[in-house]
Amino acid sequence: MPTQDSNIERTTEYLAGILKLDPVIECDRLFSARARFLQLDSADSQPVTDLADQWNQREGLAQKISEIRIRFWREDVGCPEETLASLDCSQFPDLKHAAERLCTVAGSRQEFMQLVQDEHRDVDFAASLRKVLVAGPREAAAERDEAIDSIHDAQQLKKIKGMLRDLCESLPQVYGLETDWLDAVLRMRKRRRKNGSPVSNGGPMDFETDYIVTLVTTAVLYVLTAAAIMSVLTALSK
Amino acid sequence: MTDSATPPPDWSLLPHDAEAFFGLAPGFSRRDLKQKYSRLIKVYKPEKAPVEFQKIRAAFDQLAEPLRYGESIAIRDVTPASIFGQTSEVSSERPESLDLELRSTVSSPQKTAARIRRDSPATVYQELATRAGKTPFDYYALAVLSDTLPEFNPQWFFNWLLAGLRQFPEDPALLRMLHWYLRANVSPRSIRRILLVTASTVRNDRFYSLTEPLWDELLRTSPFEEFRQTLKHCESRLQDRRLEGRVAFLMHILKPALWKADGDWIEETFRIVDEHLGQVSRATEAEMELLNALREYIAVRSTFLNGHPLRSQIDQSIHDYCCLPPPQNAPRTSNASSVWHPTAVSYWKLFRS
Repeated sequence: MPTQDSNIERTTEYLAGILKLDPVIECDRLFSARARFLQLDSADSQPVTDLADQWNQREGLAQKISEIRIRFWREDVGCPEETLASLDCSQFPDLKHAAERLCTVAGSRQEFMQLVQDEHRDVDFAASLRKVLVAGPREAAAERDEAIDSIHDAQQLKKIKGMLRDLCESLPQVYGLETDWLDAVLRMRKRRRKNGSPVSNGGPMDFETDYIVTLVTTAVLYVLTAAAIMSVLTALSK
Repeated sequence: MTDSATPPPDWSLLPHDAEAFFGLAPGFSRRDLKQKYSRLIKVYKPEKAPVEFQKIRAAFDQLAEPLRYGESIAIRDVTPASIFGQTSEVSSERPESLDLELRSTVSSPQKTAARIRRDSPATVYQELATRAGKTPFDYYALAVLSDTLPEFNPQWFFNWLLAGLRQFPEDPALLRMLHWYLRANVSPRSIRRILLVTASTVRNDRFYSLTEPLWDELLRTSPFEEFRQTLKHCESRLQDRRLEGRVAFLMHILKPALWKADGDWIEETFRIVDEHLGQVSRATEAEMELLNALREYIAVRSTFLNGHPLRSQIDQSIHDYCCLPPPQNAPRTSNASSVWHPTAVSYWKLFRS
């Protein structure tokens, strides 16, 4: 037990670090640190004197990443690649992952912006995609759901799919960050129209059926127009 | 863009953030979780990637347990400002005068951590221990500080958590601490005493979800009669008319208990589950079907084992699935003849039919 004078510093650092942890979300860290301090588990040992420093370091890094996320897409702010590269997140796997992800997007920021700002793109989905790419995991999950829910019709979906195919082709590293979700969007066929829509009042609508109906209607109109023109020409020729 | 091209999941998110690992949105359901889980284990099959499978399984269990008991895992969304008492429900037994005193002496993680650098842990401990109107954070600090006292007693940590929960029965941080303590630091010899003491403090339906792993361990390591008596004593201390936790617990414990319990206990427990199943919104037909199939299987198990040697492997696989803690209940071998538990149960169903 750390009760001798030589262990006072170790005990102080341990307590200063552990008392700052949030037991609701950091219980695993808390009990790992306790086990190491009490030597309940000799494996996976880590000097407890580092705990307080680590906590402060982690807090600082998380704050910087959060600031980068907020300003990531602002044009008046320089490219955040350099700032991200200067962050040493090697001790914190979750932050390391976040920084690497932001770095990937930052490396293609200009190309990405040009791609999604094309006038033929779906503006809302492009905005959601921008948010998802730089948000934290929890916010990104919510944003993905919102983006899917905001797709109303076949025309919109067609625009979105076009944009995603271009993204996959020209910026595969960015597409790769969201492959699961974006592949799911590309596979989408059925969507529900918004409530109150004059077309379906919220009933299910198959995009393919919608497309075929449009094609058939157009074809019929062409045939009728052609027949009318032919009739007029025939009448005139007589 | 096929499944094979899907990038691997972010393993670094485990074990801290299983929700993000599975890509789950806040407020996800058991069905959402199962969908994500199934998708991953199709790629990381237990016989091909046992290490990855075990990590996925552990993350699944971490999220599935609160869902099974109907608890909101939104506890993880508590903001730092609301931790430790600022939103906690104070026990009605708390004298009103203490609240006034609390306002003037309230401590915070930052203040206490700073004090530790000025004063000795024993001094801070003594001051907090004698303070009237302790906050939930005080109890947490006392638990942590008690580990560093010269007259160290490993039980004090647990005792301070319980003392805090007696005053603040709904405090999320103290509940989370107890949840982890009961999964990390209980020696097999102490299980019975810990269960009885916990039942005297957490006297509501949440008791079952908090203590579930201890019951699993007790059942594995002790005679069934000891398990039965302990459960009876603990339940006599609970004061909650809700049954959701109890039914979810019985459905869980029946799986291993079926292999050890006597017929009367099994019959009575099935009766309770059947009677109250409608009150448990999260109980699924599949789980009940599995329990019924297991019950039938165990009744004819000896006959089933008199046959091809493969049947012994199937039997072992079903037994491991029911009785061993995850991830040990995953398949033991990676050869082609190994059978995994759902397959084994399905095989049994085919045999039965």
